[in-house]
Amino acid sequence: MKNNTIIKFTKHRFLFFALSLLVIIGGLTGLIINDGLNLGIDFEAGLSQRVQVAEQAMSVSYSGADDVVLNVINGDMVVEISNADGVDKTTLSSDEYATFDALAAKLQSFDDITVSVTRGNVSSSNIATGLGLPFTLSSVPTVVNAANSGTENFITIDEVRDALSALSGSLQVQIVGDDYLQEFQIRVATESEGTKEDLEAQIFNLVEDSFGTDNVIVKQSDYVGPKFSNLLTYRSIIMVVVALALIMAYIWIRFQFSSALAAIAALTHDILIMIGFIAVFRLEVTTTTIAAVLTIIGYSLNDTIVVFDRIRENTKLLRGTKFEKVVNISITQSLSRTLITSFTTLLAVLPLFIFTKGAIQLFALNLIVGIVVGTYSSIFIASPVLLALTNARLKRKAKHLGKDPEAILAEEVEVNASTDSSSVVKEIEIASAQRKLKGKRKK
Amino acid sequence: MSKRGRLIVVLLVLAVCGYFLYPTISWYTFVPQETKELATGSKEQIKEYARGQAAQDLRELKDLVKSNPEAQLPSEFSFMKGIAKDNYKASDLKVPGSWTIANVMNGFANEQKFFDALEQYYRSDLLDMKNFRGKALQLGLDLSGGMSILLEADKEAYEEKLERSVSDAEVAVAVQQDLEILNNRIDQFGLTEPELRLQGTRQILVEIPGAADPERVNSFLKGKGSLAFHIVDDESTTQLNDYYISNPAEKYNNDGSLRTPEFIAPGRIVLGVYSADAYGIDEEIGASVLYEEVGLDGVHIIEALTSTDPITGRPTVNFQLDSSGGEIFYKLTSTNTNKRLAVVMDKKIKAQATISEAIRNSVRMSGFSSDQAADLAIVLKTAALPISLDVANQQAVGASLGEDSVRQGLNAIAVGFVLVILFMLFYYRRAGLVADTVLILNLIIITAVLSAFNLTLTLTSIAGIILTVGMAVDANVIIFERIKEEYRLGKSAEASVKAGFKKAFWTIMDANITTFIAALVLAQLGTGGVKGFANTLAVGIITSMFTALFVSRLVFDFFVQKVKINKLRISWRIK
Repeated sequence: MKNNTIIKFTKHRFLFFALSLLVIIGGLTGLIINDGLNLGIDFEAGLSQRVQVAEQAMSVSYSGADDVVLNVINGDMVVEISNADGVDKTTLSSDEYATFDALAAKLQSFDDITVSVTRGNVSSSNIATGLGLPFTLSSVPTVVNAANSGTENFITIDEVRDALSALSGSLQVQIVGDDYLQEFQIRVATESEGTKEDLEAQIFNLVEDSFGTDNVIVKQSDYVGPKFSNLLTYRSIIMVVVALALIMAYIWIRFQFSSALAAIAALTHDILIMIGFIAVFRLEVTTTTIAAVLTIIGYSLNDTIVVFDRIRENTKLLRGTKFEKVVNISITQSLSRTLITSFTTLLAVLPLFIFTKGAIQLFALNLIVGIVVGTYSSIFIASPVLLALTNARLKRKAKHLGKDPEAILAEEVEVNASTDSSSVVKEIEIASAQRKLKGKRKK
Repeated sequence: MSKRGRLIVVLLVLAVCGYFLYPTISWYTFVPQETKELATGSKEQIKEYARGQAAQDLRELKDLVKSNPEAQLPSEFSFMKGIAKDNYKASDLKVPGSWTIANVMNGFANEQKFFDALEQYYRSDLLDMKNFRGKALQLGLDLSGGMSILLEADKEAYEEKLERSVSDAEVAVAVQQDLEILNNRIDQFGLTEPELRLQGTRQILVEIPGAADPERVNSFLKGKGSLAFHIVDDESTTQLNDYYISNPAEKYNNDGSLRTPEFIAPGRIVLGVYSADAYGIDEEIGASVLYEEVGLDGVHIIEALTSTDPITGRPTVNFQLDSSGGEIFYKLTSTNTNKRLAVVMDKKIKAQATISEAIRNSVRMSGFSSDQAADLAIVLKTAALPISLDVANQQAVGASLGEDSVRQGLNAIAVGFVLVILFMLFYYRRAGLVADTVLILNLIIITAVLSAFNLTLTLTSIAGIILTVGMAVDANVIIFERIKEEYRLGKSAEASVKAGFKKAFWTIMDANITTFIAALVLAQLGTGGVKGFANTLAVGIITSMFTALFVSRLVFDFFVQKVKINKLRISWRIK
């Protein structure tokens, strides 16, 4: 950036305003068309299902006339045969019948029970239990599963996630207990239509498709509420309002009321564009999305204030210069800083976008969009809005007093400079500013 | 401030950071995995482990003595030597010349004492480690997983309380209220970033990062209703204890609860007296007979303040009563002077004290552990749970982001960080080195502060750190660009640095204060992830201002004033 060129950022300001407005309207239209945001399970109720991938160990069928129930109590298999004579209960302790082969042999000894063993040498203490218990035996074979016990080559969380990729709602998969047990907590937002049973069946079938029929057991299945209850949502709204009000107050005190308005306008601009982007591309909204939006609020605010600070300083230094020129000089002077800061922040976030996937990648994407928009708005929205507001104010005042708008500005600066006793004003070296201007004239 | 003074400030800050970072660094790098697992277990597990280890050691040593009476003490038990030596000296015995196992054992009054010493060795080691872990930076649910606890509403107790049958819909409403109260309460407990959800209509699912103490979870489920004051029937108590001593077999029912002998008059109840043992676990130390009629219900307690008894140094709880509670309590204490008063919590007598005079508004009781006292104070401050909750199920869950993604994410963050460092070095040359130094310093301070305040690191707080890194770089960029401008005008290096910092000062202050305001509001009103983000951001803003305006300045001043560098290497174009 050469010292002596001033880029006229504000010249086509209405063009940029129109462009931003267009993007915002586009985003909001997308929001309406897509029927709101794609809320993740942090915000929506959903189904929580715990499944275990445990291979089939044996299957048991019964062809007799009695009622035979198979149960697992404290890891031991219990066979209950009830008929007109009463109930006959036998416990097959896993100490006594240490393998599935032994269990099967014992089961075979009951009348009319047939067992087909697939993993006979597996220890019977690995018997897996789920929602299906207790089993009522019939001629249709009942599958008994055994949990994985090898601590190597077990199914990973990513494989489960891949298996469930066909689900439409937002998805969360967590490992439950020791990882080799292959037990997973699956949470799906219930935006997809259909009953709870449909969704349960859908999850179950997808997992079975990937890891084998009869190899999956459901351990628990329930509706869960959102993490963010209504109270929390309500609190968040209050929070944002309070934060914005305080920020406005601070900028008003340190700068001017029009600066406060312009900063808030730029901030709103950034948030609206981000929400539009998230809505149009159906990005999942999670707690991290909120963090990303908040980050961008902080970032954009920071960016805007730095430029405003330069404008404030230059208004005093370059008395008698048209405000529009002051604004352009200020943006130009802080341009290299704006670009370098945006670039370094992007440098920090880009690897996150490139090298990760899922929630973290989404988070990085939100940040990247936000940084680009935030940088754009601090150059093309915040300061031009400030210019428009100041011009309107000066014109109003000028009309009222019958003076020239520029003269009013000069007067205001004069008054501020004399009342402002802070060291900033005094310390500014007029000489350097003049030298700067001279340099300009030389060219 | 002189440069030396400023340097001292910077070094002091670094020293404080080192102090707070020490647990985090050693926990994540030096503590062996096995110890970590043991230390993250519940106190009960630690107790079991310590006892088991001590018993095993004792057997091993006894076997060694049996096979060779002159066997020397194995070196891993040398810590027992010191204790034995002290014991010998304390009882005026001659300290033996050689430390055979037999000699060491003789240094203890009996085998139990020897066992206790062994147990204490294991216990204090693990409890210290557990404590240590509490001081290390915690990773959130999304990054490292934690504990999932399913709470279930106790419908029967609710019906008993309301003295009528309740519909499922009523239970659902009460559970919903419970959820809101728990949300509030958990925040105050300082449990870091838990997640709560309604599950079905009667259950609440709580997820807590790290390995949560089941005891801790239990403590925040309790409510005001679980606390009551009862008058002790001293005569029956003496009778009861005599009876228990002479008939040990009659003390407990099969389920382990205390048995009420027939001679106890109706209208009296037998309850165990509990005290926290060395592990902080409630241990039964006796039994008392109380009048069943509640002297004062816990609902009358407005506040519970914790303090330390100036004489005994034990934690005490000072209960403040509301006005009607004060009336009841005054009547109770004036008619029962010289009798004993018991504080009953969850059917356990936590404290007993003799009433010396009639009391109206506040009662001070000791007998709680300091953790219990603090938890109690919080529970009493928040609303009571309409329907009581029991832990139905509890298990460990993995990171919600997935272990692999977390690893990728952390690597990516490291790559990004290195890129920023390299870019600054490339673009600002020697001055970039200053920026990089303060950037790293910044990260160190943030991590130290996060550890010191026991904050949890989640994906959202990492976002806060990224923003902070951005802002810290930004502050330096603003300063450098200003210095460059001044330098281009032909000023000396020293004057450019001075003017650059001066002009950048308010720019940086204004930009950071506005963001800081946003962060403070979010930290106050936000919950969960938002709060974590805001906390990190707030901390980061302060540290980045400190590092940019104070540390960078010091480095620049040092080079231009002391080293007398008169050429600033701040960009490629200025030579």
